[in-house]
Order: sequence, then C-alpha cells, then structure tokens
Amino acid sequence: MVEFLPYLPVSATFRRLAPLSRWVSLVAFVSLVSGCASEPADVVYLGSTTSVYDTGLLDTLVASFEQENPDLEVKVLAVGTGQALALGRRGDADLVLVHAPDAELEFVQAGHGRNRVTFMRNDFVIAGPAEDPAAIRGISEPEPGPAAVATIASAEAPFLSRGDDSGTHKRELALWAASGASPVAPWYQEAGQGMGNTLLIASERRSYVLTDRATLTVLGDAADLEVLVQGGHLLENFYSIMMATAGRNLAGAERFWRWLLSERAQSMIASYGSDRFGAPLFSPVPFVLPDDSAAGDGGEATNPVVLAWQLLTAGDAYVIDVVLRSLAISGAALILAVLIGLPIGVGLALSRFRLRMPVVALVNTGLAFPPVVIGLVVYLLLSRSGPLGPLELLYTPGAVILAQVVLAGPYIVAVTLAALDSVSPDVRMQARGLGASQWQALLLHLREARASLVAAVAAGFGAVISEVGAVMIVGGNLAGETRVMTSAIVLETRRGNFSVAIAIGIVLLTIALAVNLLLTLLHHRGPSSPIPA
Amino acid sequence: MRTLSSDAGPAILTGRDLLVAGRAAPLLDIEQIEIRGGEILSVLGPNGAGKSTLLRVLAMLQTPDSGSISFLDRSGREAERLMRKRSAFVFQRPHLWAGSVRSNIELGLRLRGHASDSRRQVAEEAAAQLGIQGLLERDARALSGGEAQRVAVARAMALDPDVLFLDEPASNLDAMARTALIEDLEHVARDGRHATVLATHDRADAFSLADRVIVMRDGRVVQSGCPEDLFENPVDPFIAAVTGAELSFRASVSSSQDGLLVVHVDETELAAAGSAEPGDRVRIVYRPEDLFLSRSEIQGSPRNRFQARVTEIRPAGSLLRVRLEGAGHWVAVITRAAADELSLEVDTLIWVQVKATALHAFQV
Repeated sequence: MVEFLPYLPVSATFRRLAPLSRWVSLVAFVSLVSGCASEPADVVYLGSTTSVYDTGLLDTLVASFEQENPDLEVKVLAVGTGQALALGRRGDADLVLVHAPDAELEFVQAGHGRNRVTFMRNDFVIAGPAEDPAAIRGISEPEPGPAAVATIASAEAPFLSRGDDSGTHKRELALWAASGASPVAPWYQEAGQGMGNTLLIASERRSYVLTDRATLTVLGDAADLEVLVQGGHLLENFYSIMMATAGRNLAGAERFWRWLLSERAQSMIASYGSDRFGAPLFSPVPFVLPDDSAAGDGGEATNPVVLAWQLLTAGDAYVIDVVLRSLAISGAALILAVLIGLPIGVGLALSRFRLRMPVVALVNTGLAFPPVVIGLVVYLLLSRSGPLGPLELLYTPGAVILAQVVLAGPYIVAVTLAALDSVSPDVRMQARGLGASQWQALLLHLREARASLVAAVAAGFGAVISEVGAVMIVGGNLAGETRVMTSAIVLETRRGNFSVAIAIGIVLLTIALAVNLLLTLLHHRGPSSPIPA
Repeated sequence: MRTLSSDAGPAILTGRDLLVAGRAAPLLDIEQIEIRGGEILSVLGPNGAGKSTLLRVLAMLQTPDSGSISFLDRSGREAERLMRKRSAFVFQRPHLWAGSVRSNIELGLRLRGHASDSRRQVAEEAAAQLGIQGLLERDARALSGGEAQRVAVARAMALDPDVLFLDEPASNLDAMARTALIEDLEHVARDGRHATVLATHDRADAFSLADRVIVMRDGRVVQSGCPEDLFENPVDPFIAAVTGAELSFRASVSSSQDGLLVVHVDETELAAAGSAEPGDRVRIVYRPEDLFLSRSEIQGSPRNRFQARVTEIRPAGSLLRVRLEGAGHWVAVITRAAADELSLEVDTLIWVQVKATALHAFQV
C-alpha cells in the first residue's frame, strides 16, 4: 500500500480549534522534530524529493514492490531534497531519494548515508510565459542555462525561485553562480514551495522558473508556461537513492534499495509516462552496485532547540522579519474583520427581520468552513482568470489579508452576536428607562458584552495568525512578501532548518500564550471603566 | 369605559386610543388614561393582562401600533425626549451593569451629564432613602434579589423623576424581602414629589399603596377608582375576584329594593348588593373574611344570619380556613384565637352572619 504522509502535523484543520489545540499541535511538532516516533520493523520510510513523487512514478514503483513483498510497507515522505536529507540524517527516513549531487556526496562523506547509487535522470528546463519578456527562447550556447539566467537578470524580468533548499533550488543557484549574475528582489522572488505550486505561482505572476521537465509535463495546461531553454550539462538532472545510516529499518531499506535497482524496476522507470505524455518522464542511468563497506558513524547532531534559542536571543533578522510580517498581516486582517464583522454582528443582534435566521445560519456555516477551502475560494477569485483577477492581488500580502478577513469575519460576527445576546434581552430598554438615548443605550449594551467581544477579537487573532493552509495557497509563501510564521515553519522544516522552524514556533507559541493570558485576565477582571456619556 | 381621573393635580401624562396588536387579541386597547402629578396609581391584574405593556407604552419605551401620548403638554418626539429626562422606569428583573452599586445608582445621572460631585451626593441620598448606604461600594452583581431591586429603585429615585414607573418590582422577591421593599416603596412614593405608576398582580400591594387603582384584563381597563370604590362596588365577578371576593355561589332573585336584592339559596333567604330583576339567576361573590362566626345567634344589623355545620378546618397561613354547610356551601377565614374561643371542630353547629353589602350579586 502506498501512503502519503503529510509530514507536518501543524495541520490547517487545527486552526479553528481553541487556543489549547494550537499548543497541542506545536507540542506535537516539537516532539516530532526531536524524533520520538518509533515504528515496527515492517515499515520502511522513504524520504523523497517532491518532483519524483508528484509525477506518480513512486506510487507505481512502491505498489509493484509491495505486491512482491507483502511483508514490507514503504511509506513515502514527499519533501524537498533538503528536508529529505535532514530526515535521513536524523534517522526519520531509512532511505533517501534526491537529486542534488553535491549535497548527496556531503551527506555520504559525513557518514549519514551509504550505498548511494545514481539510477535515473531527466532534465531541467527554464520555463516562462509565452511572451518571453527577456527573449531567452532558443538561446543556443553550449551551456544555455547560465546564459539564459544572465539574460533574465539584465532584463530584470520576473524570476521565481523555489527558494526551499531543494535539489531544483540548489541547481538554480548553481546556474546563477555559473552566470556571474546575481538575482535580486524585486524581480527575483522565492516561493518556498514544492515544484508544482511554484509552477502555478510562476504562471500567475508571468515569471521565469527553473523546473524539472517531468513536473511541468505532468502539470500540463494547469500552468500557462512554455519550455524556453533546455540542454547542456548544467541542466541535466540525476536522481540518486541511498540508505540512511541512522535509519531504524536498514534491512527493509536494503530490500527496497535492491529492488529499485533491479532490471524490472529500471524497465518500469524507462517506460513510465509514455502512455500519458507521449514520452517517458525519466530514463534509467547505468550504474555499478557499490560495496557495503563505507559506513560512517552517523555524525554529531547539534540540538536544534538550542540553536533555535540562539537565533531568538541573537535577534536573527530572518526570524524577526517573518514574525513582524505575520503580526502586520494578521493585525491588518483582524482590524478589517472587526470593522466589517462587528457592525454586522451588532446589526444582527439588534434587528428582527424576516431573513434573520437564514443569515445567522449562513454566518455559522462560514464559521465551520475549512480554512483551506476558504483559501481555495479566495485563490479562484483572485487568480488571473478569476473575477477579481484584474486587481492582481494573488501572491501579495493583500491576498493573505483578504483570506484572513474571510476566515475571521464570520467568527467576529458570530461571537459579537452571541456576546450581545448573552446580556439580558431588554438591557437597552432598561437603559432607556434611566434616560439613555438610543445611542447611549447601544453603548451600554456593548459595554456589558465588552469582555466577550475582546475575547472574540483575541481568539480571532490567534486563529488567523496560526492558520497555514489558506496562507500558503493565496500567499505563495514568497520571501519578504507573504511569508508568515506558519508558512515559514513549513518551509524551514522542509529545508531541514529545524532550528529556524523551532525559533519561529516558539514565537508563535508565545503569542498563543499571551492571547490566552489576556483572555484569562479579561475573564477574571471586574470591568469598571467609565460609562459613555 | 370611563375616563380615569382623581382629585390630585392636573394630568401630566395622558394616553389616548392606545392600541398594541397581538396575535389573536390586542395586547393593549385603552381609550384614555391620565396620570396626575404626585399621585400613586396601581395597575392591577393577572399575568398577561397587559400591565407591563401599558407601562412601557406610557413611558414611551415601546411604540404603540396606534394612539398618542402627551407628557407635560408636549407630544411626539419632544414628549419622548422629555420623558427620557423626566421619568424613570424600574423593571421586574432589573439589569445592574457590571461595576459597583454606586456606579449603577449614578448611571442615569452620568447619562444626563451631571458632574461627579453632585452625582456622589445624589447617589448617597438615594441609597439612604432605600437603606442601602452600606452597599455602595459592593459589586452590583453580587447582591441578593431584594438588594438588587432596592438598587434599581434608588437608581431611578436618584433621577428625581416627575413620573416613576414600577413594573412588578417585588414579584421576584421572597415574602420577607417583598414586604420590606413594599414598605420602602410606600415611603418613597408618598414623598409627593413625583407621580408613581405601579404595575402589580398582588392586590395587597396595589390597594395598600395606591391613591387610585385600575384593574386590567386582556389589555383593557375593566374598572378604575379609589381602592374603597373597587372593594365596595366591583362592576363584575372578575373585579370582585381581583379585590379578593374569589368565592361564589348561585342564587335566584325573589325581589329587588333600594339597590338590595333578596335572593334564595336552598330554603334560606339572603340580602345582597346588586341590581337584577325578580326571577333572574345571579352569582353571589364574597370575601371569606367578611363572614362572622358565633356560637349563639346575635341580634343586630346584619340581615343575613343562618346556622351552618362545620365540614372542614384547614390551616391557611397564620389563619384557618373553615368550610361550612347550611344555606349552601360557604368558606370563612378566622384567626386561630377565634377558633379556640369558639371551640370550633368538625360537625360543630355555628351561627353565620354576613352583611348584605358584603354579598355582591351579578347576573349570570
């Protein structure tokens, strides 16, 4: 059986739950990165680059292997090359399938891996919009890759990088290094996402992008991009598999390793994709099986929590940028949500019109909407071909703010309504009975619901700032633009930068704690502020 | 129905043709009602009679479906603005805002923009009037029902209103707290500085406090007048029941003279107040406390006296409720001391006397 494990438990579904559950998810996250999980011997974990997983090849291979070896289950952790190597280093993966030769050699030399075999290949291409603003189409140099990026740099045409320490990202950096040009913002952006998402963002932003050919092929019409530059040694893409010395099931790992290098698996790789795409996506590479002698000691592991603490106390610029950006985006979203949601909630609480019940039901439905679905809807609205496409908001902070307003809005409306309803129903009439004007009576009513209202706003803030699904979809996780705490945690974990992820996680946890502390204080403090006159 | 009036000052608040529609029948349907300066008006009636609706409409807290209110010779929005400044309303379940008792009593003054010095002084005076000076700094949410209601009354009194509306102020309180509050209310209402409109379903409260009583049923005023009027001359069995004459039996009229009827119950002839023609069937209502019991026949004014046998003796609070048979079925209420004196037991034969004016006859 093939199973895809979402490696991050900071799942979007946690967003709506009480602040406590956010703690739980963070605790789960911390315990996971410190490697507490243990598994029975009949499971092998394979840390794989997303490009191979996204094409479906790995599913086909694993299904075939498991049919022949029913006693062994292979679980694929589809992550970037950087994280796949990190998983292997920590022993959270038994096998690693990646495409970054330099990093792989380093990994093996440090004793983290052995039996590295480069067993298949395809190629990288530089894709971009058909209009090709930098005119790189058909550059014919012996090494067209560096020439193309140099041309893009001099035209300052938009280029979108994976920016996630993946194999493709490493290769892109190698192209820049070879070209002598330096990529800089604003025309150069980092997506911090997998290959498929990066291509979709590039398509929306009409950016150039480096991609493996297989992912672009599989994506088909979903990405409005064309292959503009290909060929040359620097655009070759080699995949290797190796065993992680720190793995827990090395015997099982070796069985899959051997099977993958068998003639049968190699012929499956050679033919995979021809039926759907007209040509195979990968081709096998001849190899010589290494001997088993080179085994390292596993290397020294620096405690990522200690590193995270050092980052925080040193005031790491990247961490600070992400935290401030998060606070600014979620703060703006919260202010807008309150400005819109509070009057609607007050209006609903005060009025008794015929369609009130359906409207309240609608608000409560909005409350139960999965954030990821809201992200999807906002994405469709804002995308180039969507009704709000002309605003060109997608993958900007504005888009994230919009999604968070949609997330928090119904929440603010519903809690305002409940807060006002929880005060005795004739409170405004009683205020009028003491001489209050209509307006004073309303303020006196709101004053009674004040603690609940502030609690609602605080809880709404906790909800939007810890949401990740919608932020990733509509924000694109662009560095310095839409990369917030949650999406940064996802990215840094994928990169294997656990210390950065933990540092940001600590900040997020602290914010959750502060919000809860505020709520508790509000709950216990007897209000005594002056009455509106 | 007739126009309400009294000997007190001129009308300061008048409602005309007030109508509040309900699902089936109107919640309120009143041709004219007047409140005069300084008077105490009780609005009496069972739950659902429309008392609260009437008070809210008069206080201009609720807009009637039709009709008009004039207050201090103003009408419309001007009257409403004036009403907010010159009236105060105490609700059945008062809402005390979060904060201290003092801040609650000062609330109305704050809304009117009074300076804090004068607020303090006025609040303390109002609290003293209700005997709650000691509670001023307490948390308003931690009071007993009686204390909370006192705060609500003090909060209203602090405004020195021309009209004070009290909507069932004592009905949520236990017996002791309600007696104490009603005494204080009487004290407050009698200071003569403002008119008081008190809605209550309790006839003791209504009659003990009021200069005038109006009795409501189904949104309408059934009868109004000074308390004595209503006691002596209830216009129908409902009013009679509201004023405590809740017991009744049927009889037939044999003659009519000087506003007095001679009626027959079984073989006994009784005199009763009311108007009917000979041969009519009537319902006679009376208050059990109007029956006088004695061991021997007493010669004297009451025209109605007959012998009856005790069939049951039941305690009713501090009193005893005695069922009697003889000239129909009767119920009397006497003190325990009186029962001892009469050595009253079941099957005792006893003389019953009752004034003709205590028996109210209504045609059926």
